[in-house]
Amino acid sequence: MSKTVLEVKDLVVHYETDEAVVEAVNNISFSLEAGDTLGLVGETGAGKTTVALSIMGLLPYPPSHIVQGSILLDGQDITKLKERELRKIRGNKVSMIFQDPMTALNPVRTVGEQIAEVIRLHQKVSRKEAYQKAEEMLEMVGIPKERSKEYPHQFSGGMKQRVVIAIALACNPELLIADEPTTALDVTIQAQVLELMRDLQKNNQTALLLITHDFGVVADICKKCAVIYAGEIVEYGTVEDIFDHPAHPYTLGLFHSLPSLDEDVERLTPIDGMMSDPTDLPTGCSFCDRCDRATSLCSQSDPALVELSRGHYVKCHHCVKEEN
Amino acid sequence: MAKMQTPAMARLARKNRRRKQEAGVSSLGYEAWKRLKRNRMAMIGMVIILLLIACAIFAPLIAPYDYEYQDYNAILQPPSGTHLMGTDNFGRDIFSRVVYGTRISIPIGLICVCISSTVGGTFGALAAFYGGKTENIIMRFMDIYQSIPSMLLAIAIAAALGSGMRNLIFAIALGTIPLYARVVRGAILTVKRKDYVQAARAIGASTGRLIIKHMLPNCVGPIIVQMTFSVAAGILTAASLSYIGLGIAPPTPEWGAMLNAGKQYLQTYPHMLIFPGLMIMITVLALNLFGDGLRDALDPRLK
Repeated sequence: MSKTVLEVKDLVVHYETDEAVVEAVNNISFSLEAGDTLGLVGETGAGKTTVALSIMGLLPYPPSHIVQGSILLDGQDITKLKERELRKIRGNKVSMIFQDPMTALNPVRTVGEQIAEVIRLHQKVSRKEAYQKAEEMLEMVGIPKERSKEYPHQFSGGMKQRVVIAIALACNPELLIADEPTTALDVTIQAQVLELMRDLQKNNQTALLLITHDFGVVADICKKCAVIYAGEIVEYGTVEDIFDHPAHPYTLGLFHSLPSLDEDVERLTPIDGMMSDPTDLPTGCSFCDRCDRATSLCSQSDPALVELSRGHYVKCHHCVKEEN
Repeated sequence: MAKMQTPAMARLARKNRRRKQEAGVSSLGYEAWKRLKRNRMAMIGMVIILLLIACAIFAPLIAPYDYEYQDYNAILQPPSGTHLMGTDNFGRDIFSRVVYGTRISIPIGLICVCISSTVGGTFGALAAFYGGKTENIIMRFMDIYQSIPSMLLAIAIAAALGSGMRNLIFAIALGTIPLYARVVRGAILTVKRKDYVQAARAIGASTGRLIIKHMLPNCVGPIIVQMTFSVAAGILTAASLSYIGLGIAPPTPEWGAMLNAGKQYLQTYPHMLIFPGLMIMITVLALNLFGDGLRDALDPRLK
């Protein structure tokens, strides 16, 4: 059994402003082993990025704070670490690929310098060695090293994302968090970037946490998948579990709102309504307002995450009953 | 048939060869210098600044007369062959005084700007970076600071410390600190929430590194503009202080003080006013051209 790299336990994150408390993440738990890939799927505002930022220790404080829970990285609880210790971890043990490669690179520094910077920050090497390593990283992501002296604006979007990936992987992190890494890219470039990430991840045995709202990307690259709704994991399982036997009404709704190649339909079936206001979540199941299977039980009590089949968890009253 | 080669083609080939060679040894500073070299106005500005500095260093060699020498037979002479810029009301050669004035005015302008931009900039950057309470405390303090007229503050400091060039510089620099705190804070705020700053944080960069390496280079524009303008302001404040006897004591030539002295003769002998004024103008213009070019050169997105 490979070792557990990341373990998130009962994580609750709130954004507290003068007007209201935004319950961004409510009781999320999951774990990742070396070489594992977990897809975190959910719509905008579900709390995906908040989870990622809490793992990086980058939550803006104030207004956000971790109310409870722990994030164990390699057995070390990063919610209790000081800024100085966090700095040693960031970019070294955990790195993050940001959503928009157009803005994630510093426009006034060459890409070579930017890759060398992370190496210099975490490894005791000379400037020259770091730069050489940076050039190697560039080659690794498929960019000729002669271009290391160029500035980000001289690269295309896909190339920039490759540079961002090179920065993220320069120190061989144990965990790589990719926050919608392909959202800003063309579909063809998306495929290239995903393939690159898959290869690099496989070679380095890096655990990958992929945040996305695109099931296609999840199917392409992930082994496991967690569906997030209103800051909670509503369904969790292997990609096969989720894609072949989706159980939670929200997951089903998501699949129904995707166009399918096999079926010929006039209209897609979207999920009615909007996501519940995170400042005022319902007492019961947070999906009950939009759920077509909702009963009085749903609006009164919050269902627990129950194991449906081995490794496949669902947070819904009805799925469990039907099984029984 | 042998390939025809026109002079234009040869020139192009030479240029390309040179470009290739240069590409091999480029670093950030070198890149910026290359871009700066191409900017003609910036180069003009730089040449003028270098000339002024040379003028300050070699003042005794350039000035035809002693700046203190008073020739009572030649009071208030208009510009002529013997006195290039004429003489003042004591019969002193204005050209010599202007030349010696570079030794006082240029350092005052430059050092004041360096001190106040460093101190003020640090406060502004920290305020913008940390936000919240830190920002409030620093900026409210700067507000109070700024509500004291800078002239009055400079007078008070100069009076407390006594006259002399070092105290004068100190007094003027202190007065303009809040200005820089404001400008730098604004500049940092515009880039604070940019993704690349967050990304830099995500690779484990420290606060100082974030500010100096990632934020400041992306917002030098307004800061450089402010700096070039304050050089002139510094020289003029020094003049005002000298005027009330708190700055450089006469007869040491100082452009601002010369302007003040010439005021009374504005209608009858304007040359007393024009030449030192012209020098201040040229200095500011040169710094401005240079600063503008520098800002463009530091931004690789502009070609």
